[in-house]
Amino acid sequence: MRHRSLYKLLIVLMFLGVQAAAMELVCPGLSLSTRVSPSLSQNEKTFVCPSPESAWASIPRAQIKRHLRAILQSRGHHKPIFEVRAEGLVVDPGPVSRVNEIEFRFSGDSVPMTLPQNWKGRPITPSLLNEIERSSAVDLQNRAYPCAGARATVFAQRPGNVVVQVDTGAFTKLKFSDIELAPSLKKNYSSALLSRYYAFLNNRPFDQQMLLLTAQRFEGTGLFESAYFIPQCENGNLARVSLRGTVGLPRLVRVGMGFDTEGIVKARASWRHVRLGANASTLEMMVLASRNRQELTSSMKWYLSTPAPRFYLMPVLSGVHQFEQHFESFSLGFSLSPAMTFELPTGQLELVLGPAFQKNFTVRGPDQGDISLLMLESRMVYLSHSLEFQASDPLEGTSWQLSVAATDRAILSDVSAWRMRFFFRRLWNIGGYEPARVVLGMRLSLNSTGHVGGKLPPDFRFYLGGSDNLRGFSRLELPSNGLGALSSFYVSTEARFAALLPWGLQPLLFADVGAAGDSPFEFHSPLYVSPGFGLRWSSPIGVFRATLGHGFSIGGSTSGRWGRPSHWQLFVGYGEEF
Amino acid sequence: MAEQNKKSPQFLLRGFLLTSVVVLLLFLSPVFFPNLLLSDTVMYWVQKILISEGVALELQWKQRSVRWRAWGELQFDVGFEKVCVRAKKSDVCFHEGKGTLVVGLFPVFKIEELGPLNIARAELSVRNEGENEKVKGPSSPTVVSLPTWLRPRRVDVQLKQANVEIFEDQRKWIEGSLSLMCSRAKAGAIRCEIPARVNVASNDFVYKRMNARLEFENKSDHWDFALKGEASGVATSHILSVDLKGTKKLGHETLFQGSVGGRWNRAPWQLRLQGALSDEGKQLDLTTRGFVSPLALEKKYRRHLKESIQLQKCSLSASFESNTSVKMQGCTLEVPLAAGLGGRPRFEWEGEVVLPAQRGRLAVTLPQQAGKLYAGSGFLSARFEKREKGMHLKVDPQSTLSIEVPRFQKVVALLDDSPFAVPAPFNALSGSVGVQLQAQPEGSTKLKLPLSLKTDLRSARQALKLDGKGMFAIDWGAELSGKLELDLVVLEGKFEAPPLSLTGVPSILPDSRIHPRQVPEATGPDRFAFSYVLRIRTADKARVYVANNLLPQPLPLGFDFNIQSEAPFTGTLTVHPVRVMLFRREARVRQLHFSWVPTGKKADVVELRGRIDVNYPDYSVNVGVTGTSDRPRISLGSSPPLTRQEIIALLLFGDESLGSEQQNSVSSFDAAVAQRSLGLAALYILARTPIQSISFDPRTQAVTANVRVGQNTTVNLTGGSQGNKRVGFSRRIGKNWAVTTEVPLGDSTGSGPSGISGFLEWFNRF
Repeated sequence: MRHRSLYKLLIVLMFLGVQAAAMELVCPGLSLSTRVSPSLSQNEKTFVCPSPESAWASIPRAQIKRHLRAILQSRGHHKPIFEVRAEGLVVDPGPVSRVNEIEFRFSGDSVPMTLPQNWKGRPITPSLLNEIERSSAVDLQNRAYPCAGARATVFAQRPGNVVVQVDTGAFTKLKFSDIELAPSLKKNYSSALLSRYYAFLNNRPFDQQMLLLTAQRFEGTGLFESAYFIPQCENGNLARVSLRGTVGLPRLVRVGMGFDTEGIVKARASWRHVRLGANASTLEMMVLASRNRQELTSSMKWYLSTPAPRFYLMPVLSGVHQFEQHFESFSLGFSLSPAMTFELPTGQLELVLGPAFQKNFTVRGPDQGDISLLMLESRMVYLSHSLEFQASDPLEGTSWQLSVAATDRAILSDVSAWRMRFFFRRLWNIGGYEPARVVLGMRLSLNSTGHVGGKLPPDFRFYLGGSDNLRGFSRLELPSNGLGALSSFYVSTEARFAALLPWGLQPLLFADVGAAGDSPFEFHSPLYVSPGFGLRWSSPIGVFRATLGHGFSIGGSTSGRWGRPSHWQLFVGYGEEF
Repeated sequence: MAEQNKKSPQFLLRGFLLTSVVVLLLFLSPVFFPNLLLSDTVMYWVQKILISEGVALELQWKQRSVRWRAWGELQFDVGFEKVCVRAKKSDVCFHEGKGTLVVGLFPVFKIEELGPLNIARAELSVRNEGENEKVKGPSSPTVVSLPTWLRPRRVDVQLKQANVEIFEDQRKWIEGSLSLMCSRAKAGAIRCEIPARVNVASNDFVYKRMNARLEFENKSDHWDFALKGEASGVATSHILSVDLKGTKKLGHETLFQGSVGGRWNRAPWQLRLQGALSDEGKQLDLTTRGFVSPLALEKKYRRHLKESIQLQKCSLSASFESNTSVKMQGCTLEVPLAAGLGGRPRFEWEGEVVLPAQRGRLAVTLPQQAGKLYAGSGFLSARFEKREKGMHLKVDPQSTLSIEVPRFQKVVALLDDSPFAVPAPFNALSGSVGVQLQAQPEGSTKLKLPLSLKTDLRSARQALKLDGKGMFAIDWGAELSGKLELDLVVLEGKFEAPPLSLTGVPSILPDSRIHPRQVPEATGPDRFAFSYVLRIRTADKARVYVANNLLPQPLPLGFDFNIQSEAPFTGTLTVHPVRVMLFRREARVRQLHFSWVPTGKKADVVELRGRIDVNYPDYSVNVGVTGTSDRPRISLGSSPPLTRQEIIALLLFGDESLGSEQQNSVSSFDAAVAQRSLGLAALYILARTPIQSISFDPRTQAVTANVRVGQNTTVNLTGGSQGNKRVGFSRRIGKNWAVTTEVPLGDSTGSGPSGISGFLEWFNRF
């Protein structure tokens, strides 16, 4: 019997001990019956514990309860129970409420919502509700509802169910005339001039993201030091969009560098004037130097007319020295191309068409000697808004480029030839998560040259291999005969796992496939394949990437004109993206 | 013929005499055969006559006999199974009755004895089928004085149980039972008692069960009556009791006194009444006084009352002419407040109500009085009249109310343990608060109340002196609505913020979006639409000083806020020049200006403009702040000129030449600031914290700082937005440094456009 009593006593003492361990004394007279995570911070305690000799020496119990409710809400505890005992106020925080479902209710148009799928199971806190409200509003603001607002509410009768009351406001088409420049900006720019950088079309559904992209363009071109749009609503309707910001000095000097295992170090220096004349034309001089390529370029975007703000003349004068594995050449070029950009609903298209004169001297490699070309060059470049918006951390979007050049021996040229180059890139954010979990990418390129007799300069021949295309081969290693190919293609795919590792480290898997040929649009075996893996690190000073790939030749000899022995290839680079 | 003619008079005389004898015999037959009075033939004719009047009489006799009891006195002894009288709107049936009635015939007809009359059971059913005649004015109370023939020497009537049913549109409304006992009292009076019990089926009545006892006694020249009754609801929380005694003298008014009271919501109340009803019933004068126990109030208010609310003497005068008019005079309501509040505020009122027109006037006066908590006076007078579009109210422009709370601490103490406690740090203030209201009628359905508010509150380190003017407008036209416009000017303000450390600003007010208790998910439109326009501002040269342990001297603020119920918050807040501790140095805020810019959406933009100077022995650093509060833009300058990195190094570590770890921290800080990833609060905490190191993740835009707060504490100062990040081709990581990302437009290697590439760049504008 004595043992039994002893056991009972021990059990009671253990129970009391567990209870005492679970209790959290906030301050004398206030304790939590179970610990909360994280514990109350010193500042939080300041609002619930009296501070002697100050105006906060006495805090009414109702105020303590109010503050504690808020503090516990920030940890997901919604139903605290307050009990006044002899030792003071004892608070049972209650369970943590977690998101089970999000239900949308609309007071305006009913619009299918496309929120990122990362809510379920998270503790329901005010900051989470803010996040849901912001995401809901942003989602609608990006889809023609600039005055959309959302209020997320949690009702006790349905714990875990977040009810989002969405006030969509009016469906709005944004007109250029809705943009209102701040007075300080009007001194420097006109609305028509700035419209050349608008990432949206006139009288098209409003998209907040396109306003951000426009501000990004303003800053990127140097017109503004900082720029931001503020949509202003009245009674649920868009009244105007204010453009504010600061205008920097017009001249800009930049000295930059990057590196990779191909070019070792890339250095670049430029001087740019971003506000030449009344139409804010730009003039830039740039020097680029790496182990493989040195270039001096002077270019201008000469905007001729305010009524046609997207049309410009682009004179370019350049001198280039290339030092690659299979060739070395010098070239001097001049072009004068009318160009125009078009804003499409999903992206921007740039068209360039004009004459270009090139004087080339090949020191080493095929077709050595002096070559002069007078070409007609055309180029079409498309860049989707989403890819442009996320340029430094690309997650999704499309870009493609088609360029064609033609020259004829009858007009100041040493050869009659044509060249077509096509490049396509597409990225997918799988699942639409934010932040992204898996980013899938694909690159595709098709190039071809045709000529009649004569010599060809190196940039009419195509080489494969390197971090840009087949990552299992070294830079421009293929074809192995060093003569280059007159046709080439490659397809690269990559899966980047953006949220797998901490500290911004993102592992990636890739597989590249390519082929080359010596006639227009004809490809020889073997097929070059390079699977591999890598790591991307988004550091405070930019993106570092490292890949390790293995190059294979499939369907042909590993030696000879086209073949190449299999081998591993490592690339490390700074600033490069897929 | 002549003989015949001679015989004719005799024949006629004989005939007349014979007829007379027959008639006399017939007339006198009841005298000899009194049972004839209740014969079937008589009853047949009685029924016939009643049917012609719309009344059916049904009789089932058990026994009936009529006899001469004495000279000139007839005694009726009857016994019946059932006697029913059925009319159009009511039926009454008596069952199992037996009784005796003695009437005297000489010298005049008189009922000498009534009873013993015992009726075992009765049923009364009244049907009201919506055919009520319209009442033309109030009906005069019928006061019947018993005629002399109806004053029997002996009365002994006993109706054991009469069941009563009243129907309203074929639905039983009331059912109940009563009994009747009448007997002859001393001095020739007749005394009757009618105990009754009633159940109400209708839900329109709070009271469901009623028990009453009516006693009346007819004396020689007057009637005395007493009514005692009690009614209760389904539960016993609502009880009504009536105890009235009165007397009615023939040809004179009816005098009565007594009490009406009971419990309402468990709280006792009582009104003592004394009144007189005129003989014609057209005038009622009533004097009443009474009390209402504070138990009737909700618990949280009840404790503020010391005892019951007293209705002092109040005179009511009602006139029942074509319209009923009720006048009130000299009525006083006294509210005895609890000891902490002190005082017994009295409200005096008088007025007149005319029914059924529902018009009249009411005047309420709060005489100048002072309690421990308050001092004040007021007067409200209004005329009212119900019209088709609602109540028409005309308030006397002389109406005014002035209340002053001379000791704010009394209010603090009073409310301290309540949900409405004055919060810290305002609960440390002492002084006075005054409110004045005046009436300004506008049209028949609008009333404007110009109001003024003054406070003069102080404590050792705090002060709040306010002067407010405004208007409260109420409109009871088509919809009831109210609007408050108030312009509050802070003449003097000093407050003490709680002692804080630099580890983040907590949320201290519960989020209204999280409902801890069950509430309706969708609410209908408010019946009372209330809107407000508040402007709170500091006087022209006044400052509101906020002291805090983080500030070497109180922060002088000036503000002008506009808070409206139907518009977003707008306003400005200015931090006037002040010395603060920043970057472990004494810094001077030259100006910091916040502007709330309405965007029409939930999240408004707070624009910033400011400049702060930080002085070092060899340098003077100026910090410019622009942009918005969640994405502030920081510009740094110095004299003599230093590079941005050197300035940051100087600010964070107090030295412009640093080791590699500190250089990394400087770069991270610069990157975070350049990307505007830190909100203003996070920036301030960084500026006030002894920093060991800072790291910045540009992807999440999170800044993590190791600070020396006691032991090493890692503080996450994430200020970046999580949604769409605003990153671009040229992402700045410092004032003159950027990571530039490009999509090249082709190269001369012939390999086609390469992947997106980037450069780490130094840049400068000039």
